[in-house]
Amino acid sequence: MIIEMARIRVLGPRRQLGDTLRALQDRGIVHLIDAAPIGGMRHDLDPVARRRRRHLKRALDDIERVIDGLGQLGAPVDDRTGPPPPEGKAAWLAARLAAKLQELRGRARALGDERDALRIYEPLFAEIDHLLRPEANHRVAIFLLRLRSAAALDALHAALARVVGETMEFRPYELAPGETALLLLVPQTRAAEIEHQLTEAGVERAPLPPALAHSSLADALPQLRPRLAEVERELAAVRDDALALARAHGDDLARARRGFHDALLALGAADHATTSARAFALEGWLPACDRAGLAAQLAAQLGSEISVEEIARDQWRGDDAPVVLSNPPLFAPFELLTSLLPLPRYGSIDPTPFVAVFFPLLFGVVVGDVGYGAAIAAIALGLAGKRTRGLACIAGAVAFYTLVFGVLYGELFGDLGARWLGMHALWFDRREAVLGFLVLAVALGLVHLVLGLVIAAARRWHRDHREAIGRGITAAMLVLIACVLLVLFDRLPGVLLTPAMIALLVALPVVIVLEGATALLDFMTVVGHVLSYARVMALGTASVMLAVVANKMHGAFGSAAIGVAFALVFHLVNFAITLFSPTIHVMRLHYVEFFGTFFEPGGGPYQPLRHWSPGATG
Amino acid sequence: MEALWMPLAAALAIAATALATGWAQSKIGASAAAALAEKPELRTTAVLMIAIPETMVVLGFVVAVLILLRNG
Repeated sequence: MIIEMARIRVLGPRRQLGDTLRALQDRGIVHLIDAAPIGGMRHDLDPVARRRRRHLKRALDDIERVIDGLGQLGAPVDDRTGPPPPEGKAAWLAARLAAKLQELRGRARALGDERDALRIYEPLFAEIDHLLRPEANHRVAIFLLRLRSAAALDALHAALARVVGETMEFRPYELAPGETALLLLVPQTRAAEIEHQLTEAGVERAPLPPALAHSSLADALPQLRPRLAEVERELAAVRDDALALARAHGDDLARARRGFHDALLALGAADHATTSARAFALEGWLPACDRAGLAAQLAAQLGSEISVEEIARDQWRGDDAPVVLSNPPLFAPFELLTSLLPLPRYGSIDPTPFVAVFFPLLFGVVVGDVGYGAAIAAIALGLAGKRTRGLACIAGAVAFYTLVFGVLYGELFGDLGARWLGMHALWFDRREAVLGFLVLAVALGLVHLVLGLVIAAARRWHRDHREAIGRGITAAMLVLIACVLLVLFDRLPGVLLTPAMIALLVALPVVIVLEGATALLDFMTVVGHVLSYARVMALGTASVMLAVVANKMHGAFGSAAIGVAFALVFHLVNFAITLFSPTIHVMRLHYVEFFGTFFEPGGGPYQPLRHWSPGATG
Repeated sequence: MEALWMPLAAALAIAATALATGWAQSKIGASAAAALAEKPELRTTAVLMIAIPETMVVLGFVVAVLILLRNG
């Protein structure tokens, strides 16, 4: 349901505006709006407050940058509650730490880049150490080349073999896919010639890390491994510095962040106030049940000079009020489904309770299988954690109805229950009674839409009698059509046919008179929407038939093991389809067909002035 | 002769509506993907829009079932 809201005006001496806003922020229940300019009061942008806001924003930017930077350096700062440090001290600390962090992050970035450049050569380290050992043959020249394709490697090998024959050593190492480092060893006597040949052919030299870029290859190679170790040590030192900063100042930073956010929210809220030289006025919305409590609390906290008055209902429009949904614990999880649509207009009907009843019911009618129901129940149990409790409740309700209809249809993984356990349908067998299933689906649609039309009629009665009567008669016409069809199929006594037909023929022109010529089109749309519920039968039949086909795979492949494997895979696929397709279609039946009869979107969100918390907007 | 035409009619009822649904969904899906790239908050509307043409194939399926049941 949509909670009843009250619009209030808070009046008081101007010097208490800040205290009042802080008290409202502590309560966290008043959604502030621009106050009406009454008694000569007007919206006044206080230059002192504007300056303070600028300072706070700058300091908060520094704090956020420091906390973010520490996190990136492996020293996260956890959120903490408690009294914030003095604003001046916190701003100074944040500015100092921001400069320090900038320097640390710069160092970490440069060291990280160098480490990445050095790690490219890591596969060559052992080889280089071996070549550069004291007892090695120093009459060998070393080239470090980079090649970007296997073809280039082959071509280079062939070309060098022609020049230096078997005296060279050719050692390729893959650096990355499509990129090869080549360690080329040639006799010292042929080094100049090879150098010339490689330059002529445009063969790329492997680039050395930036720190060693100015050294010769001969000087650089022995330094690669030690430099990498040194860089790792320096990076660890940077991390230690960051951890020390987080330990020393993390608590102050976290509390200052909360305090600055809160102060900025309160300053932003002050923009909604109108003021004169001596007084202020604030206006806002809160749940009607909290109005008296707020007035008493403000009086106790700030004294009798603060007055809270309720603005009479005839002075505001329902469209302006923010919307708060509140449903019993059994229905509340289904707000997750209604939240996918815009909020209902204030004063209209919250569709959540109807979704809570019909969504799992229709899902159960479609899927209706004990095996799949048990699998969904297992998923619901898996989702029963704190963060996904709402989803778990929805899955639990869906599982319950799937199990119930599974028993009624006598299905366990299709016809497996019937074949192995002797299960039989308590109501009807969906594989045989396709027509009966269709009638059930359309009948559910009829009930659903008649309910929607009755809700619409009741809701509009106070606003527009003609429209309300029109909705009611449309609902009655749907029932009459159902009666006529039932008579024609010998389900009701034939004596009802004539009165039902006469009532229909009378009702149609009455609706047209009440709602205009479009009523006829509207009625046809409603009839179309009822027929749209045939999808319940279509999806249900498809689901059970897929399960039956999966069961028939056992024995269809010669080998029982292969047949069972295929059957399991097919059941898994069918289960995945079962989770997705009926959900989408049942949601659609609600959003398009059912909500179309009574739902009035357009409610504004309720955003009370409250304390900041991580993850909150603003 | 009826034994030939009835299954063909049922097949036609499903095939034509399935093609029509597929064609409509291809157009809506492409537009929805473009809209979602600009406004991710339209995801519910997009899913609903894509599901709407499926009414055609659902009704096609119902008609096909009725034809086959009539055939007996």
